[in-house]
Amino acid sequence: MIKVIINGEPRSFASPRPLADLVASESGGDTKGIAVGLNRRVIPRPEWDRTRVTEGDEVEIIAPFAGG
Amino acid sequence: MSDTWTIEGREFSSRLLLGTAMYPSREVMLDALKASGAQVATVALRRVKPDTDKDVNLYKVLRDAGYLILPNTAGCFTAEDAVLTAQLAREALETNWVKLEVIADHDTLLPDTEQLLVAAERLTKDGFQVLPYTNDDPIVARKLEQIGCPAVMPLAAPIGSGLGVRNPHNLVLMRDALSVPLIVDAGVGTASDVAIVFELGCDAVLLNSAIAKAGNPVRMAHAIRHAASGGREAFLARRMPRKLYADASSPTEGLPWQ
Repeated sequence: MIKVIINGEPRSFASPRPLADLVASESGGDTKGIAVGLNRRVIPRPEWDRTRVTEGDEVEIIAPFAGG
Repeated sequence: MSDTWTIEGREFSSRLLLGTAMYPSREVMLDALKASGAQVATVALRRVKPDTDKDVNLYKVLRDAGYLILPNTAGCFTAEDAVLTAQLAREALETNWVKLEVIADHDTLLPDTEQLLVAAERLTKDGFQVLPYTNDDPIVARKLEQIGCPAVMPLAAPIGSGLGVRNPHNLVLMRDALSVPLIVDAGVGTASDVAIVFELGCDAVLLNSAIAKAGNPVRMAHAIRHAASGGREAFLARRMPRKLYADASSPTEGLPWQ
């Protein structure tokens, strides 16, 4: 079992997961306008497939919201 | 008569930039944007939650309507957080423009200009076009311009206060000190505040609450559009000098019974 933090919430998975899968499931499938940070570093979209989320990682999945 | 202005070579005919928050509904927000004539709409970056696909669509809705989307770093209290947020925004929205906010505290939401300068420099070196939200301080403004910011955005009054221009003198000093556009960001409350900003010679106004929190946001957007136009025209027309005493407009010669 690995433990990670996704958008501030503790989560656990049976094994390391590709970042792309995680983004797809967290965002409901439509990843347009979404950006991802892993351990306070931006992971560009082309790297989502080959990046694996593993023990202790902190993932931020963000999107535009109404703002001033 | 054309009266356009530019940021980093990008030309705008509207001198209003609008926030997208706090409107009674998405429809009212879009109608207000349209009524204002704004070409730039600001957005924030926040964590995605399973029930928020609607706001992911905000990006698509604004883009399809032809607005230039300007992400902000609202909610950041350190240069480090602001830089990371700007980098996330660049990735999410495919733009290297950012409205840089580094806030000092929750009560005033005033900029932490020390952190702002650090973040502005790092982001500029990283290829960003940094539009910094700053205090009405001409010296900090000059430093931001020296760093390479293509515009400087001082407050008129604290964010969301609607107090109007608290220090017109400093805005004029800033206007004189800078060669990049001066965009007043935050603090205007109604149409006359916006007219004053333009009469002072500022190039543009970025606002949100004054329209979103008005009783009728679409009507207020319309009013502010006209106020911007009126204030700008008045600036270009060059106002009369102020005098302490009266100066009669009617002829003083040829008065009857005298």
